[in-house]
Amino acid sequence: MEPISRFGGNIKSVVHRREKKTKLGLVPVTVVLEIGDRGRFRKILSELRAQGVKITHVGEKEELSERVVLMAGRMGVEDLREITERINRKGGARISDMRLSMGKEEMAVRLRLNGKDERTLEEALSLLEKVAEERGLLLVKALEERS
Amino acid sequence: MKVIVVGFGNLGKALVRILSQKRDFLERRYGLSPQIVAVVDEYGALVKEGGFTARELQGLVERGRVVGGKRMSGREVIGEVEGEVVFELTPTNIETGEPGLSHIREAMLSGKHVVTSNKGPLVVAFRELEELSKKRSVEFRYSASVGGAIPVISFAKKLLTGNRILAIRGVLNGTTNYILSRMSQEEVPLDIVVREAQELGIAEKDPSLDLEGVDTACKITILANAVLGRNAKLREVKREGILRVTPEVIRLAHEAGFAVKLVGTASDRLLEVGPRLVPLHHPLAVSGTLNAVTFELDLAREITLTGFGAGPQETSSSLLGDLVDIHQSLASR
Repeated sequence: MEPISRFGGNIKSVVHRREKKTKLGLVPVTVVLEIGDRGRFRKILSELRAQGVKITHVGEKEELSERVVLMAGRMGVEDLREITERINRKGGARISDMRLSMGKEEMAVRLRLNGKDERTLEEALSLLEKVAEERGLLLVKALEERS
Repeated sequence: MKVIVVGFGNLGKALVRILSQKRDFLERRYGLSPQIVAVVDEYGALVKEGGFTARELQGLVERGRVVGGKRMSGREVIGEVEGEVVFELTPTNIETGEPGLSHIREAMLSGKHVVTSNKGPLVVAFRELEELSKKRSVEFRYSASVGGAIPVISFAKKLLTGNRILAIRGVLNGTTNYILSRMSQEEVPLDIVVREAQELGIAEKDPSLDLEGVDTACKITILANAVLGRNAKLREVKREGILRVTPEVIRLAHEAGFAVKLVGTASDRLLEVGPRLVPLHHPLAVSGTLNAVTFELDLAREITLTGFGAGPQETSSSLLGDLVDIHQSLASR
């Protein structure tokens, strides 16, 4: 459990499934945890594997891949609707959360993107980059973390 | 070891003062006795072949500029005065690299080793200067050009030798980091914080090279060439500065657990500078004028160096480190 707490994970439950012990005598364990970002989650998985833990199943795929991104500039609600539609039309990724903040003349928006895997998220981010360039918006991506 | 100092601004003055102050330490610890034989600025050149005394150097630093010297240019002094190491500390020009580029060429052609903090020549003609230094068998060091006091380049070249460097990411500009940190603390617009930074001497009168990310892009170009062995050009760096970062952006980032930092990245496939969301717990999330550089490595995973990225005394630390390094390299030849 140490790697989970070290990287800021919050353990919700731990279930030892002794009735499903393997032929080698290993006990399957189901751990449910909460963690704020994908990078740290990857670090936990990698650390557990390094310690010899065999990870057989990792949650729901869709919940695995997440990116936070910010956009800012002169835009309105119609622009946000179009951005959402373009992401949805592309498929594979969706905007799971959107927060707005209005300045004097410009708007800033924070988007949380979820995707079925890293590739679809990268594609969605490329689409956002294209939109930002077309409309002269600032796009602030999260720091790429080591995988 | 006879030393010529070309460029006598704040950094040149700090270096002269520190070389004088550390004379005993350098002698005792490394057997190194630097003697300053010439100091050049835009007003002229003071030359003393036997080396200036500590008292003379102190007077020079107090006056703040070369007074009563010879009417000689930097190139003439470098070419004509006998010396072993040239400190090239003139102001940076990223378009032409001059006058630093001509100074460095002249030094190498006349068989002198070079230490510089000047990003201009490194951005304009890095490969040419590296090759010229090898051809003329002279040492060429430029630690102070990136990271100020943080030994980014020498750390990568000397201590990471067993690792493959996958990427270098860094908060490499103290001015923009100060501005973003203050915007985060006070929730005020960029232009107000820029004025505050100018009053404190943290931002230049014309801070556009910092705010537009050009300074960071120069450093990324130097790191790509010096550490990753690329032949990168400044124009190849994809660049966005912090001019469009608003307090709203910073607030939304903070609510989601991120700081907004101007991050430069160099890897085999990428050269870019832009505002990035950096997790608040991440080692690159440094505040104020601090710089931080993370090396992503195949074996050691990640190593981050943090420290003061600017300031005459701090940057002199890198210049002095380069001088000692040259002294040791020459001893082991």
